[in-house]
Order: sequence, then C-alpha cells, then structure tokens
Amino acid sequence: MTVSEAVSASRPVRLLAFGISWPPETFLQRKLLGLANAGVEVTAAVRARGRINGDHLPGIRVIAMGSLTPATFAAIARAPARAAEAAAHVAREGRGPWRLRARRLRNVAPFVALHPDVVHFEWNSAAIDYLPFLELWRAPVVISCRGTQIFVRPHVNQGYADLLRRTFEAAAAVHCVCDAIRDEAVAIGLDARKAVVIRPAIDTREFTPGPHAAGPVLHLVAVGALNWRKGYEYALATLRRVLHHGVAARLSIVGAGEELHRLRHAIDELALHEHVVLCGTLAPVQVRELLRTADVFLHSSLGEGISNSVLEAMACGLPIVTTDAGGMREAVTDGREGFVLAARDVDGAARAIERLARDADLRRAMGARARDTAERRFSLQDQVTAFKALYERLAFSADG
Amino acid sequence: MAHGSPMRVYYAGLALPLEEFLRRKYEALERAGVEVIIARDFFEPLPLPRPDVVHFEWNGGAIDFLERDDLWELPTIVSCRGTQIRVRPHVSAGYADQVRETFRRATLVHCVCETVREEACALGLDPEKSAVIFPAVDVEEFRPPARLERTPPLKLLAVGALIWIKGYEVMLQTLRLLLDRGIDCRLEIIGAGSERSRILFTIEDLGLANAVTLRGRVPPSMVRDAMARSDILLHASLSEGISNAVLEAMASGLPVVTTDSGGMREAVSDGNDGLVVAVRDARAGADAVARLAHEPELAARLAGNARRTVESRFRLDAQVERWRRVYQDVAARPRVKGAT
Repeated sequence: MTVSEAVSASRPVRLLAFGISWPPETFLQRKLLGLANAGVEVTAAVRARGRINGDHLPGIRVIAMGSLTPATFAAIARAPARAAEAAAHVAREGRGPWRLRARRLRNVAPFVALHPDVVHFEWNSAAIDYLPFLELWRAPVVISCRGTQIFVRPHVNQGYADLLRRTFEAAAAVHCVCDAIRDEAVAIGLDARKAVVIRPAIDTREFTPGPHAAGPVLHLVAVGALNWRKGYEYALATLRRVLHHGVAARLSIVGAGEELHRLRHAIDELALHEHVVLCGTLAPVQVRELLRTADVFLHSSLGEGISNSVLEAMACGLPIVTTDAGGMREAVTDGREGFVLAARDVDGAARAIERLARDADLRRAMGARARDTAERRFSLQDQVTAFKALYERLAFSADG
Repeated sequence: MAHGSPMRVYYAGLALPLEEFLRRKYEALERAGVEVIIARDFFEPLPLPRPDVVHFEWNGGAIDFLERDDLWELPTIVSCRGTQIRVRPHVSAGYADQVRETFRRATLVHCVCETVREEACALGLDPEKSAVIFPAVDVEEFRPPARLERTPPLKLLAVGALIWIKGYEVMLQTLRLLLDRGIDCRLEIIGAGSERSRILFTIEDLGLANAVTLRGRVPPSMVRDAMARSDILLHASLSEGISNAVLEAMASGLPVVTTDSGGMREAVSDGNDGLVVAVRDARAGADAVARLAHEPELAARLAGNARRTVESRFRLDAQVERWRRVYQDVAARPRVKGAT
C-alpha cells in the first residue's frame, strides 16, 4: 500500500464520514458540526437519493449516495483507476446479489476521486455493506459500534458476527460508545488495542434544566423509537404498578415505530388510556420542552449503548430511572443521578418511581447531579477533541 | 337428522396454504357430505351452481371482500376468532367501522367463544345474529400416548406463531425463574413468525441458550410427537379466542398451564383440567409449573380431566355436525331486506 500524499499537522485533517442517514440523527449532526468548527475538513456521504433538502449540516460538504449525477461521472473521470479497482473489488469480494453489489458500487462512485485522510463508518452495518471498498481510499478506516448492532444482531443473525470480525480486521481503529460495547466487541473478536472508547455527547447549552414545576401528578417521559429493544411494554407495566400503589403518575412516550399496535394493546389491556400519551415523533425543540417540564425520565431499554435521549434528559436536570442495559451504568450511577434496575424489573422500577414521586427534594438533588454529570462527562467539546485527536493520530501513522 | 340435499359452501378470504385446523375441519365436513369450495382470490367469479352459503372464516377476509356484492347477496357467515376482534379494533383506527359493516351484512356471525361474542356485541353485533361454536379437535388423531416413565429434565412445550400476541417474552422469564429455583427444565417452541429476533435476543439475554429449542414451523405429525414426549404445555398468550394448540394438548393428555386470556377459561377451568394464571405474570406461570413438577398426581388428574373435557365439549365430529346444521339453517333463512 502506498500513500499518495504526506499528511502534516499543519493542514486540516480530511474526514469522509460514510453512510450517514438523511436527515442525520441529531447526535451525528452535533458531532460533525463540532468537528467542522474545530477545523476538521468533513465530507459527509449521506444515504439519500437525488437532491438533499434541508440545511442540517451547514458548512459541511454533503454528497448523496445512491444517485448517478454528472458529479458521479466527473468523479469517475478524475480517478478512473480507482473506479476500476472498486469495480474489481465488488466482483471479487462483494456480498449479496449482483443488483445489490452494483448499487453499492454506484453509491461509492461519487467518492472515488476524494483523498480523505480518514474514512469513518458511523454504523457497523454500513462498514459491512461496503466491506469490499474499505481499502479503496487507501486511508485508515474507523468503524463505530453503537449498540444494537453489537448487542443484538450477532445473537439473532447467523453469520453477522463473522462479518463484524472482518470489518474489525480491516479497520485501523474501532470506536465504541461505551466500555460495555467495547467489552462485547472484544468478546466478538475485536483486537482490544484497536478499540477507542469515546462516549456520546450532549450540547449542554441547548439542553438546560427547566422549571420542572411539580404538579399533583408525577409526569414521566420516555423518548425513543417504538421498537422492541426499547422495552416500552415494561415501562407500561411499571406505570400500571405505580398507579396500583396509589401514586398519581402519567407517562408521555415520544417516538414512532413498528411496535405501535403492540403498545396500544398493552395500554388497552392495562387500562392506561387516561395515563399514557403516545406523542409520536416530535421536533427536537418539542422534545426539549417536554424534558424541561417533566419530572422523571423512564428508560426501559433491553439492549443499548448509551442512550442519547437519557443524556439529553440528564442535561435538562431530570432524575433518571433506567435499566442497566448496555452502557447505561456508565452514565447513571444507581442512587446518584437516578436509579438503575435490571432490565425487565418492573417491581424495581416502580419502587424507584414511587420514591421519587414522594420526595421532591430527592428529584431535585438527583436532577442536579444528572445535569452535573452531563456537563462534566458528556460534553460535546470533549467528544470533538477526542475524535479530532483520533483522526490526527491515524492520519499521522498512515504517513508512516 | 337426515342429510338433506348436499350443501355447497364457498369459503372466501382465506390465506393459503390453509391453516391446519381449517384443513381438518374441511376434510371432516366433506366426509359429512358438505361440498367445500375455497375461493382462490378476490376476483374469482362465484362458482355455478351458486353456493348455498358464503363463509368468511376471518373478519379480515370479510372486510377484504366487502366490495363483492354478489357474495353478500347470498346467505353469509362471518367468523370471529380472537385477535381480529379482541385486539385490532383497539389498535387500528377505522377497523371497528369495517367490522361493524360486515356484521350488518352477514346473515350469521360465528364466534369461537363467549368472550369473543361479548366483545363482538360490544362492537355492535346484534346478539340475535350470533352463534358460538367452539373450535374442535379430532380426538382420534390427538390421543394420550402410552405414558413413558417421566425423567428429568421437565419438558415444557409451546406451540404457536412467534408473534407478540403469544407472549413468549413472559414465557421465557417464567423459564428463567424455574431454572433459578433449581427446577431442571427445557422448553421447546414450535412456530415461526416476526418475533423470532426478539425471542432469540431474550434467550441470549436471560442465559437460556441451553434450555430453549426453537423448532420453527413443523408438520402436524411432529406437533403430535412433540406433545407425546413433553410433560407440560405452556400457553402465554396476551389475547386469544380459544387456542387450538391448547385443545390439542388437552386431547393428548398433556397438562396445560395457560394465561387467562380471551376464552381460555371456557376451555380450561383452573385446578380442574389445567392451571390458569394471569397474563404477563411470569412468577405465577413459574409457580404453576413448579406445582405440576412437584405434584405428579395433580398433573395426571388435570391431564385426565382435560382429555374428558375435550371429548365432551371440543370434539371435531360434533363440531362438524353443528356446522352442517348451521349451514342448512342459514341457507334456508329468508334474506332480510336491505341487509346488503
């Protein structure tokens, strides 16, 4: 492998962030914008067809994967050798049916003329899909391990662990969002020396404590897609138990997803109509206002890295009642910022909520500590600094 | 009652391949002299001569065929089986209105149990139009095996699609509790479906990989074999009419632990022909299984009673005779003006 161009610390690191959803998840927006502000030259390869609407990444070059435009052909014309190499890679090592391989080749085509210093796959699945192209850019590759794709998929999808191992081998560094994910990835076969833990981060200026004006009914809030990994049925069972014990409480659930029918049935069966609001998807600003006025954040996840929603709630000064799924213990210490229970422990969660319901001082104290933890350990600035340092280290070592 | 002229019944809105319980019922009906015609698709024209009765075995099928006025001009029966009455109206908007419309147009609405009938009436079904006919089992096909000596581990069996309504997540927690209490047991699950990923994850998460076998979908003969080699049938449904798998287990002399969902109590009375526990209550499920594990006489008594219950109230030959008479009755009824 030859390195075409020397990298020096005197010029900005060129990062290609590959396989970003459009619009990007809020936490990725924050990270990429933070990096751009810190002087990293970011190109985002987003999974969108045709025109990209909305200004979610101001100041960042955004290129759509998935459509052949004049720019695609221009890119191929600028780097015909690489384009040919990519095609050969697909033929040799591609996975899946030929139509899918051809689509992936088309998806990377706009990027063959780029000379990034580092390519970052923000999701394991993207790294797996584009495994044949990992060497295309002759740049070190970083892969992020975030949660489900490490905690759940290897157990439910035969062959997935093998694919993960192959991407781990090809990567120069593997970013894990928490220690728990790192341990799990190492158990799957990641070389621990390649693992870099950089925790998710929260903009604590954007998410700030609100009035939390305690009414007579304790207001619980839960945020996250309605899929089974979030364990919402346990949140509903917990609420039922709390009400049964005579504590006035209500629950707002923010998110949409395939579990809607199941949850509506559970609400019906547990007679919770008057106590639960399914809010659907809300705009980020509405989520923030909800967090600023609620009393307790309830997180019932079964498999998770570190939930961004929990971090946002912590920054808003909410006490947290969470399962110990994945890396949640790295954000919340039982008895400090809230309570940590075993996954599926409905009794335990109900007891924790009842304690918080009875004790406004405890809510305030835990909420204040949650805010403090978010500021100290999950600051956006620290996260950006850590990523920048990682990219610079990899760019330098590639320089050999 | 003597056989009249042969009945022609047209079954519309079915999913193919046929579910096992329907296949068995149709075979028995044909043996009893009913001509069974299965609609291939929505656009199939009515067969000639025209059928005596059109039967929609599912609410969803009846709704799908609401536009086919030519079918609704004939005597029609709509069956209400469980989920489509007990769950869907509460979770999808507009569905209840469509169900009501099929009730209005049907000559007769069949409900698989009293619980489903009550739900259907709450949705707007005229009780005069309703008839309860329980599901049924071929008591010759499902028989208690010559009992082998019971040897540990305790063999638990569950049969049913891997869908959320079946409550497998709670069942796996029950298994975890049993193992934690030192009861040596294994669980075999027969069925396929969309919850497979979640179930695999839960098995892993609860450390049950060595205690659970997922068989997927298997032919009926293998279901019978599984029932013959198992000790207890578990049924964790959150919602149900009357489960065919439970009836088959009861006929097979297998003691049953079931949730109190839908019409299950109409088939299983707690402590008499099985044990009934609250839905979503993993601990109650574990208590019930532990009781059966520790009290083999109780298990044997429940199993014996269960076989007798099925023989007297859920037998296929009696059900088919009932259906034959209902078809004749419906075919002979004058059509109510304005019902279509």
